[in-house]
Amino acid sequence: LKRKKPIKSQIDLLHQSFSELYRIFIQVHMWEDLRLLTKRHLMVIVGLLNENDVNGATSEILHLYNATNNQAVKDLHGILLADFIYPNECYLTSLKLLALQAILRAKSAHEHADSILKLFALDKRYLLRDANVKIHMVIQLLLNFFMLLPSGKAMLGLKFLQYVKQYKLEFEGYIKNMDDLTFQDQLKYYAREMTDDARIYLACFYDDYSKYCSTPQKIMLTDFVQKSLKEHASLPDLIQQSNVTGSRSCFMNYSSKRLVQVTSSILKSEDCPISTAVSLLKQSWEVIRFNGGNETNGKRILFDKTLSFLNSKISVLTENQMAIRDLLELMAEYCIDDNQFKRMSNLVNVLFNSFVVLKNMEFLKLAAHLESRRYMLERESGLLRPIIEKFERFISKATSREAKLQIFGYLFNLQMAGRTLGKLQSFCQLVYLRCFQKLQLTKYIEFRNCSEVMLAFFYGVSPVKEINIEGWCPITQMLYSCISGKFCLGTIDVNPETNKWHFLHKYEVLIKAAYCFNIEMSKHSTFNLASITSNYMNKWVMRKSPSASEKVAAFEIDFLRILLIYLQFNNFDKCTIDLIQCLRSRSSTYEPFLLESEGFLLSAYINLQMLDKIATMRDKIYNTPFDLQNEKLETVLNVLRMKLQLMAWENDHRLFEKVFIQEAPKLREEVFDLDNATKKTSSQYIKVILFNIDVLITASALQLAKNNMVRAATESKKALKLSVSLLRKLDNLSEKTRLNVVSYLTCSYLSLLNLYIHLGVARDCEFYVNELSTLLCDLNEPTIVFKCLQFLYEYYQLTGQTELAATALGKCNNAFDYIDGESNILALTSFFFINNENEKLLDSLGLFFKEGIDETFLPYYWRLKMGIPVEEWTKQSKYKASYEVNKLDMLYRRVLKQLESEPFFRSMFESLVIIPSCHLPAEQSSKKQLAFPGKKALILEVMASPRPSTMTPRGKHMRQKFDRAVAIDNLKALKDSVEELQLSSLKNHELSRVASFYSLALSLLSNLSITTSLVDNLLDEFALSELPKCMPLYYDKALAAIGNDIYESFCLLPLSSMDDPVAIQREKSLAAQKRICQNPIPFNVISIDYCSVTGSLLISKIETFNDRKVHLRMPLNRAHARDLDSKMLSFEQARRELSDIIGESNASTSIEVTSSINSREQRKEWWQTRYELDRRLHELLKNIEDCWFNGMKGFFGTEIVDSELLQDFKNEVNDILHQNLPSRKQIGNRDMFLQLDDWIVELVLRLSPQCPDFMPMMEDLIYIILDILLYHGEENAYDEIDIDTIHVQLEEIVRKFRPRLLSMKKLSHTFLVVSSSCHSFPWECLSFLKPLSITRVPSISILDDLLKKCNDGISPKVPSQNKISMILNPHGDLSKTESRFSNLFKEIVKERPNSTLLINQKPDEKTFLEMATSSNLFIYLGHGGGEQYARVKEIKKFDHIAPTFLLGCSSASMKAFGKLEPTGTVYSYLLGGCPLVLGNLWDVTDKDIDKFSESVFQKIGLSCDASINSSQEHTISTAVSKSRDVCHLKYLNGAAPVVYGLPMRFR
Amino acid sequence: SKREEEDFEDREIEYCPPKHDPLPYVPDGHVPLLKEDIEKLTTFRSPYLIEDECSKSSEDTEGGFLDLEDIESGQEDEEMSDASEYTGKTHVDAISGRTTLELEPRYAGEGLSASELNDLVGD
Repeated sequence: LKRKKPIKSQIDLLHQSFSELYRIFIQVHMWEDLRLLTKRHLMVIVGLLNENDVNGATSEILHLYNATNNQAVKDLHGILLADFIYPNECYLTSLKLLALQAILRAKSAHEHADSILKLFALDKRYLLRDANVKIHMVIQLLLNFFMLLPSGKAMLGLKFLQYVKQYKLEFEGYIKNMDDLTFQDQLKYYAREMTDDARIYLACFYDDYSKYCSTPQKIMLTDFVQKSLKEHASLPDLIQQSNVTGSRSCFMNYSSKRLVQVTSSILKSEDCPISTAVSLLKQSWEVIRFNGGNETNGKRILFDKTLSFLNSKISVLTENQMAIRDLLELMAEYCIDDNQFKRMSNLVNVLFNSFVVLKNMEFLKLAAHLESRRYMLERESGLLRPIIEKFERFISKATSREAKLQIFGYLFNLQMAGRTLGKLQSFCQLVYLRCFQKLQLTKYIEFRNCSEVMLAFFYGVSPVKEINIEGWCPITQMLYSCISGKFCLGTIDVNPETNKWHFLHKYEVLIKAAYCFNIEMSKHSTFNLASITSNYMNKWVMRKSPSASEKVAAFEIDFLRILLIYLQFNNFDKCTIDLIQCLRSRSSTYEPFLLESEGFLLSAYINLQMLDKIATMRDKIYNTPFDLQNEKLETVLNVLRMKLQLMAWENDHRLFEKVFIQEAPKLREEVFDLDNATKKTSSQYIKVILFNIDVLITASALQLAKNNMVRAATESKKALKLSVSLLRKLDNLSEKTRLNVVSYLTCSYLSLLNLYIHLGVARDCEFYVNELSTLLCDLNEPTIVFKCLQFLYEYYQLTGQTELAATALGKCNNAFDYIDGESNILALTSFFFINNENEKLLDSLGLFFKEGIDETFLPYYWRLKMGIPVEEWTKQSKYKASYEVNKLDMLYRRVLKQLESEPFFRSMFESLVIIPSCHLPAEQSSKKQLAFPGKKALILEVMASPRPSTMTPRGKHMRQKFDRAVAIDNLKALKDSVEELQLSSLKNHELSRVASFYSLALSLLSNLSITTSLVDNLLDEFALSELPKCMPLYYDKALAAIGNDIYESFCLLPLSSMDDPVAIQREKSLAAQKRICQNPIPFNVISIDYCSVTGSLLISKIETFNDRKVHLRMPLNRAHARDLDSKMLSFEQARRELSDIIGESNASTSIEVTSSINSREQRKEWWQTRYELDRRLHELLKNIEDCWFNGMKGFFGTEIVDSELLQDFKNEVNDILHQNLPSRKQIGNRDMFLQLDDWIVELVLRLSPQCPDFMPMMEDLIYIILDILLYHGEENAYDEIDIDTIHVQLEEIVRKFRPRLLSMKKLSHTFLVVSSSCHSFPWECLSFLKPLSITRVPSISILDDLLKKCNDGISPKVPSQNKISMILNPHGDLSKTESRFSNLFKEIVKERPNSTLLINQKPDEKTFLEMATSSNLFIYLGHGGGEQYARVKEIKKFDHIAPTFLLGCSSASMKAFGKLEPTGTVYSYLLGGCPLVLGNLWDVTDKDIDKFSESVFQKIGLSCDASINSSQEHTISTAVSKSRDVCHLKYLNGAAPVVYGLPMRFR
Repeated sequence: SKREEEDFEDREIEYCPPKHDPLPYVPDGHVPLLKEDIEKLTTFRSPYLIEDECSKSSEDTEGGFLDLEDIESGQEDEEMSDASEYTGKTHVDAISGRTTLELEPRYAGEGLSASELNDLVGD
């Protein structure tokens, strides 16, 4: 253009470049700056006009209009009568003037006369829309046409006069030779040349004219009318008239009112043929349209009548379809003139109905055209949805695909689309939602007049796969990939040279942030998350000039919502806080989103434990009034979720009960509507379900805090079930839902695991750990995987599964490589914690919070987790329990440090620590008053000041640097704080840790202080140490009762407080101990446990007959400590050796090995390995006896020593001591010194001289006695003592008293309480236990329950004369066993009524349970414990099960789970009310165990041979102990059987 | 011992039958996680997709017709002194008789001048 060359010569180039530019402007959706382009195009047109190239100008005029309007025009008529709609308002006025100019230059005024007259008649619509129209030029053109168009001269004159008045111009400026009145007068003449075609517009011109010229001299309309008027009253004349096509002119003569009446009479007349009616209507409406402003209401009513007339007559209008179409089009123009858009919509409906009936595409096209024009004219955004829904109907009714696309074109084009990002997105996606299916599109089509942005939005949400987007600008490709989530678009250069013109340029930062964020999420990574968020904040939210008018687009709201969810999901808590504060600083723009973001802010503060921030938010949330009943669902869910977080944080069960259990279900029931009875949309329904999962998880935690364990488990299980079934129900999850479901699912698992760990129930933990692990293998969210693996690592450590713990730690650290530690402080601190980098952990907190460090509780939280008793726990009451346990730990470590620092006491752990061990003589001989009062002082004094002697036994250093009093104080503090502890808040493993502290404190105290006797503390000590064993069993039974019924309703369980189960159990255990001591039948209860803290065996005994309790801590290496070359066996070594033996034995008896043995040589070799294993097991048991028990074997003796025998023997022992101990030799008599406790004296008495190990046992006891005296202050230099003489003398008195001892009455039974860590040892086969009647029980209180059931009879009689149920070789592969027992069992069934027998047949669960519960004795000879036929959890549910023999391999084995209690098959039977279970600790071979079974059967009277039956009566325990030796391999097979429960009698 | 020596050859091999897995422990009413469930948890989908796709489009009234909305159109027009209302009145001639109009040449059908056209699009 700047080149001076004439435009005509370069018009082709210009034309093409303009076309291309228009195309580009459309493609990049850049109509906002269209003016820049159209202005230049207008210049070209002007240039052409000035160069007299009128045709060129005309074609360019059309080119400009058609390139920027969806509905093109063919000629200048179209330009003149074009409507002002976006985007043509910016140029249309000028274009119309240029069109008029072109007409003048082309001398084609006459040809365009009609359009020109229409243009000026309806100038308000067609011309004067632009406020700053150049009226001066308009008038000039008007006058030109005034001169050229005789037929319109009068009217154009009127218009001229109107403009002069309207725009207050100077008449003279235009007409020189006359004034306006004369001019006005002249118009009358010109009126004569007015043709009928022109006169139709007269009313309009006159109407406008008279509005502005109201002076008396104004022309009257009548001045313009020549012909006299004939009044056409009757319709027939009109009808007759119509075929002369003159009716229109006659209509013109009517007044408006008359015209309206006549037209409505046409509608009503029956005899008027339809076609004539239609043509009459057409002509009448042509007149009405230009009839000016009168009778507007009448015309509107007439319009409605005409429409309903046509609407009802469509079916009969088949012939004159085009007439109808033209009439309707004309009436549409009337609507636009009169801004009657509702009526226009009715008209469109009639068009549509016509199409439906007449199937003529013309109607549909016109309907679509008019509907879109109506929207563009009215520009009412509220109308968008109904219009699109109407188009949906149009498209669905359109027959062919081309027709559908053509109709679709009217809707989906740039002119109709929104002009801001938000409006554009909602337009495109609403069109997609409604029309996509109807279009039956399968592949990508590029719609006409659509920008790439529109295509991106439209196809982004559609399932159409291959979209060729190469042609698109990078910014649009990014938008498309954001919306569609498809990244296979090759590498889009994320920083392309920005196209300033592009519609999206203004939103570039937002789209780029969304795009990079999508890639980040698709890779499940968080490395760039922090920078993306800060970029979005600084460059977008805080950008300098956000156009205030523009509302936040839905795209940005979606982006913000998913960003906050992803930040929360990955614990980017600080980023979340910064982002929300940034949004708040621009609250005017982001107002709608702020309430929703509150929830994220609160959870960020809670994660960072910023107490004050939480408190302020708390007051705001609880105090702002909130209308739960009527608020929008989303708001209700947001607010309730925030309250939920607060209640969980503060363990506020009262408020939870009030809000979630009482109020919400009544006031807003739909929030808990899980079966979607209220028919919500799917996204709302998902939100409701996720909300309910959240509520259930919190409910579970609150129930746990109030010790309602069964309810806590129920709520957690419901949460898990809801999460899994939600996942199952949805076929593909949106990202928002996916992230939520992942976190809720893992939350449910962890909440369940936390509960079962708290309860100490291993089996359920293992089940949920496996489920969680399978989930983690495939889950690719590093933050969640890290959190779960960290949990699993701590779980595997807790359960002693060291290899799994190591793998978990390794995987955990791998997962951490994918986590941005700087932003995710929770992960960073956990990472340091599990890798024991405590300093780094605390430093990282400092770096993260910088000066805000004192706002957060985290430093104290982590110190508590490191075991430090932090005083600040008071700020957070829920950490009271861990504070207490830490305090105990600290006290204990202080005592240990003190003991370590003093060799004299360090050795204490190398010798026995016993309660009670000895006491002062004064108490002993209260009867004999000591001869002289000072004596007591003397004795104390003797002990206090050690005799000077350089000769001290190794390790027993004399220097008394050690401050005994401080040690005692610390131990007392430890003991007292345990007694004050609130036990129920502790986890089970914490409970067992506290129990071992208590036992340690008591033992050391009793060893160090001579004054206090701690015997009566033993009652508490036994009860406390039993708790960690009984509670898991109690809960296992209680939780087994939770059935499927809990899932029938998901409403919350009440939170009323229940009594404290731990306290109840403790009371029960105390009572049990007292009750068993009142049992007439004398028996012992001995518990064996292993203390991992000191590595020694904890043995306790209750002798029911004399209500005596003793508790001792037996170091396993005491022999070695005394004499380096004596054997040493640690607990761990013994456990490993035992499991090696069992492992090798299992291998040797596996089917692979045994089936390949056929030669004699192989058989010989096989038997050698078997004997070798048997020997090793025997040797292991021997080592245990010698190294561990040695002199203590007497502890298990069954003779009941009467006091007289004991006193006599005691005097002798004291004499020997008095004679031989340097500390006693010269002074006083035997009674003046420390008196050993009776049961220690008994130990010596019970030694049997015939026993081959008599020598080492006696020596062990002597040293034990000397140690006791030493630690209680009576120190002797060991090498000064003549041990041999003591030995000889003691042996002498033992022999002397032996006969008297053997004559004593014997105990009937010994109950062993074996802890889970000691479970797998065959204690019953130790030589000193083998002959005894022994059965195991899980705990004293369970023993008490069993006794109560059999009203205190230890050996109740089994009515084995009937109802015996037997299962023999159910699996069919124990043929030898079957052959051995089938006769016997058949015999039993014959002889003993209601007995049942299953041979070689697999029982289903129902039968198995039936046989176990409704018989007097249940015998199972098959594999394992029958777990493959009846599920263990079903067995637990019973209250009564018959005494049971489970004679399969490893039926009694129980895999230990570290600090959690395993409930193996045997314990399940006991929980199910079974009084007696016989099982095998490991796998045994068939022949040997059958021999054992046969022997047991005979001894309990189950054999066929009557004579054997009537012989000596046996309890099950004596039968078992007598039958062990029938096995060929006495240890490998013979030691496997073990009896649980009561030693019941069979006869 | 010696006796055990000879036993080796003729004593038959004892074996313990292969282990059978116990019935799996599954808590009552537990819905296990299936492979395809976990897959759903790992597939990323764009967060901008429309979740409520399946909301039904407005049902067609039978026959698929669109009915007309009735629009109230205000009261009857009051009787306007309709200047254009004429009942048979005849045409009255101009007072000042017919005179030819001389208009500026500018209006003689040539329309706007070149400079005026440039002004029109120039601003």
